[in-house]
Amino acid sequence: MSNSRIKGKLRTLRCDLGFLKRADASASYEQGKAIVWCSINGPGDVMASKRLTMKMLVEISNRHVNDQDTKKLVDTLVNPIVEHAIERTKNPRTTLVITLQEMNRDGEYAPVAINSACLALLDAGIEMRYIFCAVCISYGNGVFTVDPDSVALSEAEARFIFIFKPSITDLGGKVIGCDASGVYTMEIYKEALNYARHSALKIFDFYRVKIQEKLAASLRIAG
Amino acid sequence: MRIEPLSTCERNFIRECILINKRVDGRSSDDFRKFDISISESDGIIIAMLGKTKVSAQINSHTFQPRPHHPQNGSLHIDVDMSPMASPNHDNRLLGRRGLELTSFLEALYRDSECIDFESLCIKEGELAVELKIMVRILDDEGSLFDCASIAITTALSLYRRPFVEIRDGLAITYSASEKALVPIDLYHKPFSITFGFMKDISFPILDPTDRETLCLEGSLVIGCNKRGEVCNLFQSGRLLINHEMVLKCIARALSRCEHVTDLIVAVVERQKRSEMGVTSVPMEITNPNVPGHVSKAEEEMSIG
Repeated sequence: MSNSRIKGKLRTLRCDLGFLKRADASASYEQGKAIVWCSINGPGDVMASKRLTMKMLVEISNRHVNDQDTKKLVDTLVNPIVEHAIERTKNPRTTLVITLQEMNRDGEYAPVAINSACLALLDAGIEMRYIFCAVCISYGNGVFTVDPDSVALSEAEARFIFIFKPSITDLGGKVIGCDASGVYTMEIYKEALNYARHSALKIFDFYRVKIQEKLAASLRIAG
Repeated sequence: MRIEPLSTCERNFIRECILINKRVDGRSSDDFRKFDISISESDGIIIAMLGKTKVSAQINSHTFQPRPHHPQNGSLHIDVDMSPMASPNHDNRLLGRRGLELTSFLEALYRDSECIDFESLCIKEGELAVELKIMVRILDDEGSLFDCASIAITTALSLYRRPFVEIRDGLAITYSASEKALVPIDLYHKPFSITFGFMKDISFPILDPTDRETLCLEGSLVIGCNKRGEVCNLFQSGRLLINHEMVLKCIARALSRCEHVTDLIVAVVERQKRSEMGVTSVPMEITNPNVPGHVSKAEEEMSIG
């Protein structure tokens, strides 16, 4: 069924897991030309002054995010989403240090960073409350663009980022986070959300494939 | 977060391995690890990998008013980022002693050795000049950060092209790449650094120490040099007492290593420039049997593995 209202699809997804030597877990996640590296160290020791008695302290650092819009997204979207997905009561009095490094920017940073963080957390084997994925949809001239790159984003009138956790009842997942900017009506918002759900399914499938690959490799070694 | 501390038995084991000239990873005390360079065209990020150590370098430029005591010179600024990604004991915010050491060494190597023609970066004397800002990110620390960083930065400087800037009718105009061709940086020479680690009561140095070996060292001698046989910088990390004969021996070894590294980097840069110009060529695989380190094909996409 062709829909002239929607243009483009999710860019090619690539991921390498566990490639950094010094980090406990790492993910190099690519969405088209956008690349974000995520490394995780922990659960490890933490200074007495920062220690939390009942929970694990999660420190997330997004390196060198300089523009104001992305900084705001990092503070309101990326950091809270990643922190709340982790089951923090399982490792109290420890710390988990998550470092996100942007290697190439093409489109919005936040969704790529969020997906990269989820893959790194899966690589780390940290107990999580749910997995999560982020999708970006832009709208301009009556057409929706799924996962816009920098060129498409610069031409957009409105830009939506939706974050999902898996759900049996809702297509794509339950919305756990959202950021919308630009000029739009509620109808445009709802349509964008609908398109985002389809992309979320693809991203969750990608996670499944990647983790299966990783575990299959270790099962082969174990014999 | 603390790193795994060095136990006495690990220290003794590393020491014994060095004494029988077969280090933990199989190298002799005189061998370097294999190094690789990954060039990303879209963002101009160069990733140098020396063994498992990964350092990325990215250059940006902007215009500024030159300082009064150097009115006809541009300038260079190096920013080093050591995040917890590189090693668990790095701090999120502060650079730390090792980071400051690395920054001051790299600034001395690239600014004070006069490898860049700063006068060519001056657009109008006293009014407008170009400042190069080199962003160095340590991505994975398996030792020899000085060496890896210098490979990344020198390759980045050889490939970087800045926007064309001119002053016309009293206005400073910076042209985009589509309007006027980008200008490469004038490099007089290509400096590289080589690290020599010294252990207590061992008369010879170990080259290119790994991170565990670095914990056992008393100190390191880092020699910055170029293919022309010039020593650009001598830097000492830690507390060392070495006599001048040892320094001269290290310099001789560093100069021979530097020649090989420069040849390989120049070949990689030439290939990259030809491929950017659209000239198709057979990919070159360069191996040098005398030196264990060799450069494999420069990857054009940022694929790791």
